[in-house]
Amino acid sequence: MQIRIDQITKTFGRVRANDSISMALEGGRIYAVLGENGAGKSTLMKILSGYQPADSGRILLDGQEVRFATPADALITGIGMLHQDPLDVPNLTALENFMLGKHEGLLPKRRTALTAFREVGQRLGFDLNPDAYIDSLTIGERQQLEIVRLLSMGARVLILDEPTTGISAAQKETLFNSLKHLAHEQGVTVILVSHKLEDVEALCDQVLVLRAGKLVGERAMPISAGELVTLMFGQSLERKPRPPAPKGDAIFEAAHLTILTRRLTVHDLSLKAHAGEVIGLAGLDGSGQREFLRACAGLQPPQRGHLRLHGRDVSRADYHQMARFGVAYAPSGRLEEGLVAGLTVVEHFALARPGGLWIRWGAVRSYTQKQIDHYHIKGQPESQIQMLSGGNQQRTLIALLPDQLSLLLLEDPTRGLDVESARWVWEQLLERRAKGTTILFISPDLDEIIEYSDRVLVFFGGRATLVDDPAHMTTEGLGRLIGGKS
Amino acid sequence: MMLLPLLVSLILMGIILSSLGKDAGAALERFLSGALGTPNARVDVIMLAVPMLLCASGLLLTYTAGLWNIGVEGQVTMGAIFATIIARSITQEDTSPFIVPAELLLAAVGGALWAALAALLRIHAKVNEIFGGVALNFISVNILLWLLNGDWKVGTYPQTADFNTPALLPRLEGTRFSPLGIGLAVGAWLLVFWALNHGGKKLVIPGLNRVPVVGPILALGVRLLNFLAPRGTRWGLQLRAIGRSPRSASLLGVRVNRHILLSMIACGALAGITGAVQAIFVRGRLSPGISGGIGFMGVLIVLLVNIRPLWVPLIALFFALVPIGSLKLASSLDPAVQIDASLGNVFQGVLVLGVLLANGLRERAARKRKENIP
Amino acid sequence: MKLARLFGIALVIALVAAAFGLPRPIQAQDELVIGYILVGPQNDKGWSQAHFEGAEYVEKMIPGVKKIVLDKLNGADRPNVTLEQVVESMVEQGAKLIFTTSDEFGPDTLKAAEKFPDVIFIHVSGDGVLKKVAPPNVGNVMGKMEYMKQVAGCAAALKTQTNSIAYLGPLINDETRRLAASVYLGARYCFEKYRGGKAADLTFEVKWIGFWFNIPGVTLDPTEVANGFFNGGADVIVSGIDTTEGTVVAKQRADKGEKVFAIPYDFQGACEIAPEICLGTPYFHWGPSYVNIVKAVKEGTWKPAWDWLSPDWSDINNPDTSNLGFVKGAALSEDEGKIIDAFIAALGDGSVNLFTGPLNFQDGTVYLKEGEVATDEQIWYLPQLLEGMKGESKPAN
Repeated sequence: MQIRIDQITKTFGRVRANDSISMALEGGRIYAVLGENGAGKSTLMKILSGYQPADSGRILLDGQEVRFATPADALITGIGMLHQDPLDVPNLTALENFMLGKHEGLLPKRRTALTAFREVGQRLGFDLNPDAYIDSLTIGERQQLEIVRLLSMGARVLILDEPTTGISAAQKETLFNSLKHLAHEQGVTVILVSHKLEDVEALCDQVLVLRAGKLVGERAMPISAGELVTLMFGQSLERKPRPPAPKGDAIFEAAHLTILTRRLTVHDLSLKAHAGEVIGLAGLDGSGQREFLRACAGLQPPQRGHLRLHGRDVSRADYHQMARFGVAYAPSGRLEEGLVAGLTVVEHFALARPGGLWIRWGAVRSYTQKQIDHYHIKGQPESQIQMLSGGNQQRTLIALLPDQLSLLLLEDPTRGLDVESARWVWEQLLERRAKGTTILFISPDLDEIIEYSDRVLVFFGGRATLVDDPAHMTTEGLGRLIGGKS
Repeated sequence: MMLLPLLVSLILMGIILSSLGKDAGAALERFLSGALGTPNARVDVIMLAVPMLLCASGLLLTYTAGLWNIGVEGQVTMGAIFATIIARSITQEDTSPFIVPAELLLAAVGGALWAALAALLRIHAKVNEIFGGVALNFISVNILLWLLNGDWKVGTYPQTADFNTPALLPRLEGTRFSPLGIGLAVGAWLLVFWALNHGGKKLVIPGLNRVPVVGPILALGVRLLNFLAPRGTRWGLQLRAIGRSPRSASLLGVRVNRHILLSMIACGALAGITGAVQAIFVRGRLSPGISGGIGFMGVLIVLLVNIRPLWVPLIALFFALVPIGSLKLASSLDPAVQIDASLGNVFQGVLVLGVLLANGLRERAARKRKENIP
Repeated sequence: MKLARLFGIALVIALVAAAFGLPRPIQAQDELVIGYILVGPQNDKGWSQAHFEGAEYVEKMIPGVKKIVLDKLNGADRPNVTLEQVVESMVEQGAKLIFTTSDEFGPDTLKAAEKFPDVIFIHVSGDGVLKKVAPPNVGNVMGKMEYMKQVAGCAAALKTQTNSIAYLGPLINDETRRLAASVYLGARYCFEKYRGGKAADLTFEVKWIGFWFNIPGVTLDPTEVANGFFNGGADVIVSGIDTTEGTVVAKQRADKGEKVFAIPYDFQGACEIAPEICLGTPYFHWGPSYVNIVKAVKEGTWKPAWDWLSPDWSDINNPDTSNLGFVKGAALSEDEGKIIDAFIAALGDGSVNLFTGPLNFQDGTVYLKEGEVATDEQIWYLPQLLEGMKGESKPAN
């Protein structure tokens, strides 16, 4: 099936998630849609699969314009989407899930369904037990089930969102083989949404790269990882010369740290950070940098290894203990984790400042006013926090940080900020650095990493490589590491 | 926001009454004059509002922290049981001034223990407080019936003997009016109001002094509150932060689990005192169904006011009108307005629906707004 | 927010206006307002409905009488309403006579009577007057259901083939003990006299479910208890509870071909659900006694008394004269019906008094010596079941 996307635009508030995107996808080919978080690929795929409507633009299937009100509509016309977390019903069996959503009248025919289930499964090389309950299946098996279901319901276009996260190597191979079979033998259009360059290299025929809501490149595979990274992150800036940081003592140390989460394992990470040092954590989203940062904050207990702060073992310390030791953590989802929607600015300060049972509102209010002035926050002490703009929320978040810090952990500190605000934020951070605070930060923006880091820790698939030699600190050099090439 | 559910329920009740061939206007008149027409009835309304206000005050704390403390019924029941431990052993000759305070205190402990169980289940076993609460409600009712059918049973029916006067909440001679009861409820509400006060703002209620009986008492409390307002409690703010976003609150340094436990305990203590009031004031004995549904009433009140403490006493008084007024309707001499009092329950049911409907609409509107932000 | 505040103010104004502005009802001179307080629903086909029909009978028979009925005064239906409040509400509307129609209203009735000395209270099934703890404006009334229960026992004895009769009891108190004992005495008498059996060969088992009706999780399930009786060999169930499980189960078993029977209680029409297995129903009929009380109150001749009323022996089912009755069931044969009539006649003329010694308690101690006839109080306060009956005499604590 041929798909033409014509001038699709979608805006959320002031953010243009998709900006006049046009592309054409042919049947029988496997496409990769690449792009960093926020590049607009999820939005585009949701529009394509009927989860949300576009503001403007058209979708044409084999030359016919189509409009979808629901995902079910899209599936009827042949577009099926496989989510990162398969949307199945846990307390049903595999076969029952397979039968769900079919329009067969009141009494579904179990026998017919079983035959179809087996037949499709075998063709794709999946070994699925129809009577197994969903909770007992692995993510990989649930994916396989979902693919079987989508195909049996007539999907001619398969969209897969990060399908290789959380599945085993063998399952990945099965998946890729079946996808190749589907595309090349049966003419199904496969669209892979991913930022894993190795998957793209292994599977795809064609790459579409999005950046900041725009389609910025289309290439036939194979091309070099470096070129892809450049496409994804934009034009490389060379590192500006900067006076070497006066290195203090090594105050924070991670030794052979292993962090296990449901999706990812961070292996054997060791790092020594010095007072007054900025370390950037680079890597494609989901490579382990966030897990590491959260472990440093006491939010994610490590499986093995040690964390030491000023020589003290803090591997088992929780977030509140870490805070007492002078560690602060500023997450990226400001209103999801960090600020409390519904509370006013002054209430945030009252909450974050230490104190006893009572709050002396007079004192807190004058302190708040002082911080508002100092950090140029556009808002009143009585403004509800969610009424502030993103930039002012970020300023508030930074104004809320305690004065004396040993270690400051930041997730994407300039997310969504304009150039001016971003530079202001970094001025504040560097001021703290000058006072001897160690800063670890995550950024999806390679330029930001290169510009502000003294050293860079590059994550790929849960493994970290430390880069302290300036020669490697170029977009090209880091890009290769980010893409998993040493 | 409270207008919608009330309005919808009133209209629905009118339709129901008319369809039964009753005169809705006359019924409303009889309802109001019945519930407010005599000093005794007014006292009954106020005194029925006392347990509701006590319970709702406690629930303000947990609902502020985003905890649906459905287990409050069980906490009321346990409070009544614990108060009875003392009350049933008091003889007519006991004169100690500490009897009633001891009963109330023990009841608070009982309610708090029961609430702490629900909180611990949530924190350590990840059992949602709603499900834990439902289970604990069930258990508490069975403990009550076990006691009332066992050692505590006096006479034929599964209930204790009537408590002796020294064990009862003191009332004014010859009436059902208990200033101590009102003081307890208003005091609890003022404390909660102060604890949850937003940013030290002062409270102004125009015309309060002109409201009979309750007005001056409330006005005094409000003055006290305003004197205290500039020193707010950190706790109330922490609970509000948890209620809005537990993740953010935790990252801002709030010990979320600790405060979940504390707010449940505080609510349980007030619910326990509510149970004591039911046992040593309303019924004067421990009998089945001792909670009288006051816990669920409290939940309803708190949902109806959307967790704004200021409105709670008013709504509690309004809810207290319903059983008294519908009793007067049911026991009415005039057959045109003689209406089965279960319609009072229907009215409450309709109110619940109205509240849920209004909440649903509100959430829908909020989601709509949210969808326009990435 | 503005709207809400406006609404709040309006509400306060409305309430205050209602409180002070409305006129009180005015009462005609010769009118008598009577309050009736019922524990169950007024249409329960049992105890409470019998009282409600009594109230309607009074209204029909005596002009110038108005009634206020409040039903379902119990902890489940009206959790936060006390008897005191109900009485108050009735007195406010001019009630001068109030019937409180359940045993458990006893203590609260006495308190209310002290509070309203000008109002006459009739506590049905109570014993405050007998015990001399009631103020002078309280009377007690009850019917001698014992007779009708003896008739029920007789009917059961005539019919049983397994010589095994079961009694489905509610909770245990003086009243329920004496009623169960009455069934037994009637059954034993007729078993010996008309069936030629020996008392020792008659099995009579009592099981108490714990309340007047089934409360799941609190009481025993009467359906299970009834089935247990039949499984254990009984073929007649005499019910002492307010609801119809005994009859329903008997019908189910009879439909499957078993030869079993039931005797329901309380409500005149109770046999209608299964006439083919129903041996009859003992029932209350409060109308005549209520009329007498109301007339006495109207004429100012009422005196506090503990009335324990017999049926009208000339015609126990006469709705205008008899306080109690027994409807014969369709399952009785013509001959058996004649025996029942003869037994009723013998009870009526006093030639048979089953509460006559020698009678022993269940534990073997003497209740009545040879030739001794029980006084009313000895019957009313029966402390144990009788020798020959199986089942608990006292609640297990």
